Amino acid sequence: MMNLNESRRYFLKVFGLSFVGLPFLEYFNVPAHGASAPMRYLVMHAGCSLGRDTENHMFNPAKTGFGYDLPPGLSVLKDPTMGKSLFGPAFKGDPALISLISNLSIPMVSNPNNQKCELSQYFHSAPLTCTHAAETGLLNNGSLKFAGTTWDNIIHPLVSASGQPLVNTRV
Amino acid sequence: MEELGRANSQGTDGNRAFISWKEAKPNFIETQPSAIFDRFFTGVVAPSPTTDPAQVDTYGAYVRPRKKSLLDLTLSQSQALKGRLGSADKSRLELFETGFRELEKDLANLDTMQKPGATIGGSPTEVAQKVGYDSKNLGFNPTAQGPGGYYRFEKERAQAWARLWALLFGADKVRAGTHQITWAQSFLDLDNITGQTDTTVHDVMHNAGGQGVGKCGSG
Repeated sequence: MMNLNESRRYFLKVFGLSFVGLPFLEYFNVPAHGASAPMRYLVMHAGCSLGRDTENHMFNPAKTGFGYDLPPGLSVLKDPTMGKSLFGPAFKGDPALISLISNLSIPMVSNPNNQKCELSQYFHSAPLTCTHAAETGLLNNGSLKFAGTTWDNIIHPLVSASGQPLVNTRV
Repeated sequence: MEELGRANSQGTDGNRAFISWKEAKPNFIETQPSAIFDRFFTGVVAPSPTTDPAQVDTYGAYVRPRKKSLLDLTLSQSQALKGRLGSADKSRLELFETGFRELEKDLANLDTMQKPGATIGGSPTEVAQKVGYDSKNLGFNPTAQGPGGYYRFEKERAQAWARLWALLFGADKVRAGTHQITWAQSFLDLDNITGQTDTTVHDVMHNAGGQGVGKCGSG
């Protein structure tokens, strides 16, 4: 029987002159035995904090560090059917493959009349800047402009050896 | 770096739209999964209305020109290939095809729903969910319902993005990225995530009326 590496070459031969970009040509480009698959890095976040999730723990784990628990809002991560998704065998529904980042600092300014976090502009939309901005002072309070580099832009060139672009998306 | 996203602002909210920066320069964001799909898999580049920054983030502005499934274009070849594969590889190919077709259906569904002037059907609660209203307080966020409203069809777009990101990684088109699951002040019901029917995403953040005790300073 033909294996998928051979089948990829078959597809390339058949569709080499096709005008259609066939995604599965690359999808089946499985590394040779013993070689490691290229690393992927995706930061996912919601455009809000979880400041009111301190009692019900719908999203914030009660236990942090290795072996963190999965509250109801994250229970999908341990769903065994995840391994049957388009991710295929690479994911296997294993939460150990996912880093969960919590307890980020939200930049604050003093305003006794504002109970909703003055600089919510940032944690609303850009959790990647929260702790970074607070600790480095790169946040310009006046213009609400971030003056630094977020960590996705730091990781991107390290894993994208073939020139793949960094992609930023929002629901 | 190549800029793939088309949205460089969120109406009048300016920097709140950005999620990623490089040396103080914000990266563009893409809000339409169909635009990224076409960019990588059909070669069609979605228009970028850069001449009017206030409108660049308007949902529904991009109507995809391609209607036929990529899988249909290669159906006979894939069928021939399956006959030559072992059972494990055949299952893997079928898994891929199923996921790919589901993604194409998601995109087609969004095309229909987001088309300007499209009618949203269903019960009042269903309509409220689709346009992003807080189901406890209909009309709380009127900017969500009109063309270009920020919160329209969050659930449907989230599903399409999840499948598309898996494909981008699987096809090695992209190796790094940032994905924002909801925009700020999302009024998506938590029923979609945790089963809670009386609480929205925004409620767990800091809005009065939500469950739990508000606590600014960490998130």
